[in-house]
Parts: sequence; C-alpha cells; structure tokens
Amino acid sequence: MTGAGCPTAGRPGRLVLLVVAVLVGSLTACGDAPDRTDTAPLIILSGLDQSRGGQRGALIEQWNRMHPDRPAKIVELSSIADAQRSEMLARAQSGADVDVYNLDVTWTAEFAEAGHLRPLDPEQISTEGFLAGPLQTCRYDDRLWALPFNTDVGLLYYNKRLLGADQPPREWATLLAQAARVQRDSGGTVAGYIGQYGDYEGLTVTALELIWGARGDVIDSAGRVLPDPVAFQVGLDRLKQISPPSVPPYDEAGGILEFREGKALFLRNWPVADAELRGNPEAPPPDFGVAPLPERSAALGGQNLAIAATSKDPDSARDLVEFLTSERSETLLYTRGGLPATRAIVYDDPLLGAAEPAPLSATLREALDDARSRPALPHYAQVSETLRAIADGYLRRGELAGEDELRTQLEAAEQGRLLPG
Amino acid sequence: MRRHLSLRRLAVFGGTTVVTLLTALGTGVPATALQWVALGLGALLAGLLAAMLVPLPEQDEPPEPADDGAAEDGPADDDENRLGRWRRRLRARWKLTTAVVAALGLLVTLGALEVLRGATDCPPTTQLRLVTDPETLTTARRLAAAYVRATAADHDGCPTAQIYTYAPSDAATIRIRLQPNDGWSDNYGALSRVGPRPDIWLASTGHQVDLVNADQAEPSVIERSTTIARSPTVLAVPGPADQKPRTWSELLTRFTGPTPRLVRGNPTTDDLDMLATVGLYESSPDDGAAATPPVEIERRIQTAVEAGSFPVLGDAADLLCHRRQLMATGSAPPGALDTAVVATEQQLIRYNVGEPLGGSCGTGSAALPADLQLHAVYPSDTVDQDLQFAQLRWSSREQKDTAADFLRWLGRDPGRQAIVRTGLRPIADSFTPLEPLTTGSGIDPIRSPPSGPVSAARWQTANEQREKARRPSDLLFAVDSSGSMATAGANGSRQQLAAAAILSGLTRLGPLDGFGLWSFPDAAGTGHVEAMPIGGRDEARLAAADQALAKIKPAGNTPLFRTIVDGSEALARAPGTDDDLRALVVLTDGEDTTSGISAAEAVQAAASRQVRIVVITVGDIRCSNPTLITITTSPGNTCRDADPASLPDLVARVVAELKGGGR
Repeated sequence: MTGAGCPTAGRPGRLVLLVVAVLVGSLTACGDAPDRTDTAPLIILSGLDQSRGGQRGALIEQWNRMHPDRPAKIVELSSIADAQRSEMLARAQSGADVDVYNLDVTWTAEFAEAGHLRPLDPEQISTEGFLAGPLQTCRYDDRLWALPFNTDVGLLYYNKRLLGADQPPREWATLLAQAARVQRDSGGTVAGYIGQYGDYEGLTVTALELIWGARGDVIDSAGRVLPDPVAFQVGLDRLKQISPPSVPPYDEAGGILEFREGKALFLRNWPVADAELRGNPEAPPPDFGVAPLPERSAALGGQNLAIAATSKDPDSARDLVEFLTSERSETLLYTRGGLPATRAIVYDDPLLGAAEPAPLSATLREALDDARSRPALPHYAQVSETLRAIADGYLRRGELAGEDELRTQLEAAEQGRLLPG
Repeated sequence: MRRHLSLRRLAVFGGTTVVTLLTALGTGVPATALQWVALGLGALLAGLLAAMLVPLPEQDEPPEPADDGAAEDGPADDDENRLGRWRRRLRARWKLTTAVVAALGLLVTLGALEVLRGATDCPPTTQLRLVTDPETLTTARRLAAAYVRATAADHDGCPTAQIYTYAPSDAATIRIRLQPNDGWSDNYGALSRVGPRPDIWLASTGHQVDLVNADQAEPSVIERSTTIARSPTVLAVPGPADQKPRTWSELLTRFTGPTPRLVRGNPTTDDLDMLATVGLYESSPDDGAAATPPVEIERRIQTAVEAGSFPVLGDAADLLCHRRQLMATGSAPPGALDTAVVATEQQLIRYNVGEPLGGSCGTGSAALPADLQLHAVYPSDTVDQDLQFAQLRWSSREQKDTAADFLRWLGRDPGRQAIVRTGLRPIADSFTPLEPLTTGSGIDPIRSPPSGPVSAARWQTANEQREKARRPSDLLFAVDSSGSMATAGANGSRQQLAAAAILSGLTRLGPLDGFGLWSFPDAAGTGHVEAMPIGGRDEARLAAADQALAKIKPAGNTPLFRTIVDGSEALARAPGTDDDLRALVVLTDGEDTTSGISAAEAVQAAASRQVRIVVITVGDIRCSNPTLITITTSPGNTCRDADPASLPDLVARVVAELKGGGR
C-alpha cells in the first residue's frame, strides 16, 4: 500500500519506535537511494501553473540552463485540487517516476504518513528566512518533509463606497454589523460577505475562518475534536448571517465577478483576486481596499515542494527544491508571477517593495504573519469533506446535528473512517 | 494494613503517577475514552510498581543475608532464598530501582497509548481515477461512493479505495485521449486539460468502447470492458402510457403533430440521443409499410422542437429540463406539455423524481406527483443503453486489482442494488426492483427485455443517414482581439489559446458546413476585421484559417455589440440555403466598450436574421454578467464559461452542438 523508499516514522508508531530505539539502542537508518543512472529529467508533478506569464516554467528553464546534465520538467496536472491529489497519489502508489511533488499545504501529512515522501535532513537543508507559517505546513510528526514554494492567505476585500466612512473591520462583530447594514439598506440586493460556498475545499476554508474567528476549532493542535462546540456553532451562524440568503455555490472566480459588479460589500478571497480585479481596464471594479480578515482568523494556503520517496536522484531533487524556493526564485515568482512568496525578505526588502504588486505587500505580510494552518492530518481530506457537509447543511438548510453527533462524525473522519448509512 | 503504608510509599506512588500522566499528556491529549483509560491505568500501575519497591521504615538498611546453611535447605528453600536475596538487594538500592521501574512504567504507558492511537487510524487507501461522460457523471459518482462505503463496511469503517470521479465536457474528448499514441501521457496536456489519467472509464454505451478499440492495434489501451447495466430507450409521454405493443415507427406516426408531438435530443453531441436515433431510423411499422426516411424523421422532430420552444441543440436531459421549467413557470406554449420526449428510462426516472438534469436544472426539484409525471412507453423494437466498465491497460497492478474488485462488487447483490438505486437495470436474469426503479417513478421494471448490443455497423449507418438528414451549419467565429486578450498564462495569451481552440473546433465541421473568421476591434476601434469570409470547409481553407488566426494581434477596445450586428448581417448574406443553421460564435474576455448600441439592439439584429449567438467567455467576464445575460438568454442563444484548460474542448463541443437540427 505505501510507497517504497525511506521508512517513515508516522504518528501511530512514533513512540513505539522511540521506545525500541531507547531500549535497543539503535534506530533503523534510511538507506541511500540508488544513484541516478540515466539522463531522464527530474520530474515535478504540479498543478496548472497559474502564475502571470508562466513564471514557474521560466524558473525551470533557468534551472535547465544552469544544469544541462540534470534538467527538470514540470508535468502539469489539472487546476482542480482534488484532481491533482488523485493523480499524485495514484502515481505515488504505483511507484511512477516522480522526483518532486508540488503539494497543497494540507496534503503534507497524508503523503508523509503513507511513505510517499523523503524527509528532508535539517543538517543538509537550511530553512532560514522562510516565513514561519508556510514553513510549519511543511512539518509533520516533528520532521521536515518539504520547503514552501508559494504561500496564500485569505484576505478581506471591501467595497469602499458601500463601506462609507467606516474603517475595514478588525473584529467579526463589526463586520457582521456592517454587512447587516448594507444588506438592509440595499433591500437585499447587495450581499454582506461573499466567500466560497461550492462543494470543494473553498467552503471548508470559508467556514473554518468563521469558526476560528469565534475562538473555536474543528480539531485543535492537540488533536482534540470539536474542542468548543459553542464557538463552532457561533462561527457557522455568523457565516449564515453575512452570506447571501440563497448561498450560491460561488467559487473564487464567481465571487470576484459578483464583487466586480458591486454586488457585495465584502469578498473573502486569495491575494490573486487583487490582480484579477485590477487587471482588466475594460471592466473596472468599484473602488476597493484589501485588509486582513478580522481577528487573525485567515487560513493559510499555498504549495510545498517535497521529494518523492521513489526519486532515483534525491540529491538533485533536493538541489532543485532549494533552487525553486531560493530568495531569487521567490522574488521572481512574487514580483513577476504574482504568487505570494514564502520568504520574509521578499516583503521586507524596500527595493522589492517598490515593484509590483507592492500595494498589497504590507497587508499580505500582516495577514501571513497572523494566518492559521488547517489541521495537519493524514486524513485531512475526509475531515474537510465532513466539515463541508456540516457547513452546507447549516447554511442551506439550517440543519446542525447535536454536539455528540458532530463529534462522532469528525472523529470518524479524523481516523479516515466512514460511518454507516 | 498499616504495615504496607508509609508516607514514603505514598509520595513515590503519587509522584510517579503524576509524572507519568503529565509526560503522556505532553505527547498529546487522548482523543478517545479508551485512550484516557489506558493513560489512567498505565500511570497508576507505574505508580504502584514504584511504590512497592520502597522499603517500609522497619525494612530500612536490611542486612545482607548470611550464606551459611543455605546448601542444606533443599531446592525450594533455595528459590525462596534467592528471591529473598534479590528483594533485599533491590530494597537496599531502592532509590535507583524505583527510578528505573518508574521510567519503564512511563515508557510502557506511552507505548500503549501510542498503539491505541495508531490502531484507531485507517491505513491509506488505493487511489483510483474514474472518467466518464457528463451524462453519466451522477451515476458514476453514486456507484463509486457505494463501493467505497461497502469496502469500509467490510473493514471496520476503513475504506480500502478512494475513487476520484470526473467528466470532461464531452465523451469525444475521452475517446480522443484514449488513442494509440497514449494521449493521456505526460506530453499531450491531457492531465491538465482533461483530468487525471483514468484507471476506469465508465462509458455510456458499448459503442464508445468499440470506437476506441477500432482505432487501435492490439493490445488496445482498454484491457477489458464489461457491460454492468442497461437502460432501454423509451418514449416519455404525459399521462398514462398506452402499452399496446408498437414499434418506434408507429409511435413516430402517432406522435406527429399538430399535437401530440415527439422530440429527441441532439445526436451530434450525445451518444444516448444517437442511440435513440438508431432505433428511430431502423424502425418500420409492423404492418410491413415503408419506414419513414431519416430526413422526414428529422423534419418532424425539428418542427416539434420549435413548436414547443425546446432548446434546438440540447440533449434529452436539456429537453426534460426545459419541460420542467415550463411547468414551473406556467409559460408553456400551446401543446408543449403534450409533447413526448425520447429518453432513456433512467433519464425519465430522474425527471420524475426531481433529480438534477444538468444545465440550468443543475439543482434538483421536488418529486412530481403521479398525475404530473411522464410515463414510459416501451417500443417493441427499442434499443438499450449498455453502460460499460472499461479497465485501462496502463494502470498499476494495485489499481487494476482494486478496479477488478469494484467490478466484481457491481456484479454481486449489493452492487446490483446500487445500480438499481441509480435508475439503471443491472445485468441479471432477474433483479429486485427498488426505488427509484419502480412503477412509482413512471416506469415498468417488468417490461422491455434486453435488446442486446447495437453493432458498430448499425451505429455507422445511422450516423451517415443523420449527417445527410441534418441542416448544414454556417458558423462565423468572432474573436475578441482587444488589449486584454494579450493577458498571458503559462500556456500562452488568451488570444493564442482562443485561436488554437477555434482551429481544433473547425475540424469537427462536416463537408457541407461552412465557416468564417472575424476579429474585433478594427483599427478604428469600433468595428471588426474580416480575417476569412464565410465559405466552405475544405483543407485549403482550414490551412488559411491557421495563418489568419496567427496574424491577429490583441490591441484596442471591445465593440462586441456592433460585431454581433455586423456578423448577423454577414451570416444572412452567406451562401447556402435558407435551411442552413447560422450561428455567430463569439470568444471574448470583456464587456462591450465602443459599439454605441445596446445589447438589446444586438439581440434583435441577430434574431431578425435567424442567427444564433453563442458566447464563450475566456477571462474577466462570465456568463453571469448582466449584459451577456441579455444576449444569451434570448431564445436560441447560449453562453459558456471557459478557462484556459477547458477552452479547446468547449469550443469543439459548441461546434458539435451547432451541427444539430433537422432540415
């Protein structure tokens, strides 16, 4: 079931292994992978390059010019995250030729636990200079499994005219009041807040941010499921209050279009929305501003580069990962490609600050510093699906199971179990 | 009792228990009651063991026993003495011993806790990728979910497989990618433009599989294909169904206007509608009279579609969706609700029970009461949809094994029941009718024995007849070449992607069809540039189209409405007959900026010349834009949102759809 390669110390057995190690006095060391004997390119499996001007591809071209004996190639997968994950997992399980995975931040635990990744040796690789949040998403089970390639964070876009003299909200209670005012004044034609409501990870993130904003959680860092059921319900209830009553299944693009047409006071979206809104002079958006989401409740997104357990040339793969996440690469990806960088210096350097997309840099940096990670779980996909079903039921039908039932559902999902029925 | 108690023992017991508890909690809070029990018991046991080793006050500094005389005491006494000596030695070094025992107790507790934690997590599942056509997507997702749930039920709640199920814009895209050159390899863009490389293809008909196999030398990329379910083609009629045995030909006569009439979906894009067409074309009356010629069949269907304001280019699901909307809004033209619809039994069930039908019926509705349902009439010479479970050769061993297990499950009772729950009939001599495959859904599960597969030759004959019977299409492609179309993605600018998509779409036109190419704006910014006039589709013009598209450079404004007006006039003047289907296909990424006329005027200009407008959005604008809604919700017009990855498939599908329609 698990992929070949370096044995992993997954969560279930880590202390058992530790006991064995203490008592026996030895640890099984990871054997070296066979040397690379062919000239085949290093394969990076990645979602569709959505940077402006194809900057990821441009970086690979640079690498290839610098390393003609060790060229690299991106195999591009769908832009749909679930499709990417499926293809990556299927290839990992079949032992296909992959050297580097460009993983969504929520997949690190799943791939590491299943033995599809090669852990990075802290003595061989430097993590200095990376933003703490994105770097944390590369860790699982006290080991480093990847380096952060590009990050992402939920931001609050606001229509200045509709907000009037008010300041963008720093607290959810203020946002609720402002949204209610605009909904009321417009006779319901303008939405208070548009998040992502379709049946995909977007709804999970939108709901999680409101739950976090109510000081609640789904699974906390100690692994406790539904630690504060009241806050959980408060968060969902707030989301229901500020969302359009029909809860249309907006994705990121759908929300941007509504906001562009002045149909929403607030838009919850990723940094890329700023460029999308400003990018077409033929369809100018209303005057808008961007702020961090209230109360440090924004979710962290992004992708991490991890070395496949089956890589025949892990040393070159490591070099490639370091190149792609270097200060220079991160600067190019951000300033030319519009992908939020994972290194602090890209935001801190005053010279870079003058470059596009500078107007967002300060807000972005503040939001990234305060952002929260989704739980690092091997069965995160199932937890997300379960949370989505709960949020969907409450937003669209007003249904919310009792605390025990919610806990049962989420505990089962955390373990990867399907409940009967 | 007092002898076994001392402050020292109590202190060691308490200390060890607390340290064990705190240390264990430091590794993570127990997630289940069982883990809490293990933690509590483990900590208490560690405390007890440690406390037992603490000597009571009177046992302090015990003297070492003398060895003399031990030899005479016999074996039993030997053991007792040895044990006693050990105990005394341990108690003599009680501080060290207690620490060691406490540490061991801690480690054992932590280990037990961790094992329990691990034991509750499910192992990784085998990842399968399943592709199907849009019409079968709901069915495929339900079958996959039922199978995954069944594997979980057999493994203490832990599923052994995970199945990613998806559909590209049409079945032809799947077939193209299954060509012998391994169109799903890393080098052909299928992974990004279509989706993951499938392990299973759930093909809506056996004909789809035949087409792929016919193009391949042995061994085919399809390792094996198995029919897992069927659904007879029926005539869905309003009111009680007259089940007197009749052929399709007789039903066609019976349902030829003025009312009631009969409609069928567009066979150019939908395999199930083409299957129905096979049945309609092949049928003849039981009395030996001549069969109705295909041209006449298409003419009658076209008349019925237009009379009922049904979507001319829609498939059967679109027709049923339209009927559902007519009922909901009470806006049906006279006789429209009396019109019968050619559909599969499963499509009829989905309509009656209120399931989503796709398109503008993307969400479900309430189940219809019996008196408002459509009812299935089973023609005596009907043909069955035969759903195929095709396994792909390129899968790994593990994935092949899991796919095979899925297939075996579909052939057993639980799998057959899952099939019935989707409204399909399982392949079995008999089966238990379950909801929704019951008379309560407007069908009769007893009727219509299996028709057997439709051979490739029969499909081909019907296709050729259909190609001759349909109206030729004249398509004018108008590409937005305003400045924003220069916006670049990883695979080129929007303009480049649009050009490539149009070239790909042109290959779908038939020899009787025509096309032209325009771009907008012109140099003045208010009109269009004629890159190629409207003319026939031949190899020379296809090559010229490639060059013409390459010359278009994005710059300037977006005179969208003016282009629609001018394009409609050009199409009306184009060579061809009045019968030709004329359509303006606009690819744009922005709103009108410089036309100086309104959207309503543009719509009126097109409608007055019987020109259909199809808008494909490629960037900042979406079909939900109010201006586009004005244009594309008018009868006959449509709008599709595209992204860079889906654009070529979408344009190809639009072209295929526009080839529909009887003369």
